[in-house]
Amino acid sequence: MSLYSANAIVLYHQDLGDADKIITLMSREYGKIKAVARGVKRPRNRLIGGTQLFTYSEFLLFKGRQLDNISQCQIKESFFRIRDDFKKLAYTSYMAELVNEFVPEKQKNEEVFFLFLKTLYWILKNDDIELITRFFEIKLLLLTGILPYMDSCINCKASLDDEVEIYFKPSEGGFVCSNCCSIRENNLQIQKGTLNLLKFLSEIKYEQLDLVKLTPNLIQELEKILRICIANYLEKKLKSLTFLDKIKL
Amino acid sequence: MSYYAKPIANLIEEFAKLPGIGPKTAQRIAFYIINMPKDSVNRFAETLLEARGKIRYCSVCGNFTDENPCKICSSRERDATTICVVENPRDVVAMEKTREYKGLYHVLNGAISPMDNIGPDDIKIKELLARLKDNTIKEIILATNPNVEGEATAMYISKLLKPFNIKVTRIAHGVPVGGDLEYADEVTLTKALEGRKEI
Repeated sequence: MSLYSANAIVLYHQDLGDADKIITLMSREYGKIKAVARGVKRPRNRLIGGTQLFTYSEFLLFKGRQLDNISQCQIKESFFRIRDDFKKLAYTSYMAELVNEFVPEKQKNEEVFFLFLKTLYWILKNDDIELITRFFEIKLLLLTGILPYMDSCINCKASLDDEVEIYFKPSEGGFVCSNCCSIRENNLQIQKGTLNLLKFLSEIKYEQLDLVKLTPNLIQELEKILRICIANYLEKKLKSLTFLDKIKL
Repeated sequence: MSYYAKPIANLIEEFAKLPGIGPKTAQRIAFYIINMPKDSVNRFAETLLEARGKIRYCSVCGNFTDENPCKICSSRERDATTICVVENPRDVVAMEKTREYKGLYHVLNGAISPMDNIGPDDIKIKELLARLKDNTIKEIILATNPNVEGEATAMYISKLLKPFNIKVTRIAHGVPVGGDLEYADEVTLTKALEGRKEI
């Protein structure tokens, strides 16, 4: 029986039988892991605290035939104040689902791990959860390599700096100039400011996010573009996104 | 090719559909039933059909019942000014076992879960609000599970109930009776400290 330890954040949990759960973890050392937490629905179980959603813990796991098992866990940061705020909980669930969908199992990905961990700390301290969510999406797309190319028109390679009209082309996930934009296609005309904002956000760090002040228009356009990119990549709509749309926070 | 006679194979297949029962257990139960006296099997089959046929949701509280409204909702001895909100019928049984609670219940039949796309409209929250219209209810006790989904549900309901001017309480969180402080995690201890009371 081989034991190993991992520093990980809980992304998702699902019931297994009467008292067990399958926990999906994003670990620093091994990437995404699915492991069984035995008896975790019983009140006196020692794994309860560390296996709650978004909790960052040090886990001791042992390898199983199909799924690994959680043997012990020690909480490093519980982030329980996020779970106490309905809006933050809904948005953070969406971000956790994004990580779950974007990261393949058992492939180490420290960048995404630290991005999500830092995001959780940031959510704890800041209330503008929508801006944090957009920022997280941009950084995740950047790390995955599917953030739209922003420097020039993806068709004619002309610089977009002097363009007055810029369009986002959903089918190719990039920006085109007015010359290359075919009216027949379902292209999305966007403001110059949205492209600049996307560029700016992709270059800055969380610490600089306080400087960003946004108009609702810009953030809506940005959200549309990012949603299209994510939907194109995943080829499905996430459950937590449907939930966010449904309750309209 | 099946190794069993068709009726046995069918029986095994049906048992294997039940939660927590794999093919081997299903096989064991199926053979046990075949060896049982015919009377016992008849009784077993009748009980299954009776339970499935007679049990439905109570139109008031949403709990499973064979008479509508259920025994708790129609009882005159219970305190009709308090409603305890729980996630599922098994929680009603757990609360009843305490013998401390004398009010009514409301069973939500689920909990809000963003990750599984279970929203407020998918559980019986509207029915709870409808029960408050005649102004007889004085207190709502939110007894959803102390996990992420249960907390989210409790938070959501408490927000909805603000305009009603009813006392809304949440069951306490803390160290389990007979437990050891050393093994309690920091979230539980924080909540236990927050909810401490004078003795």
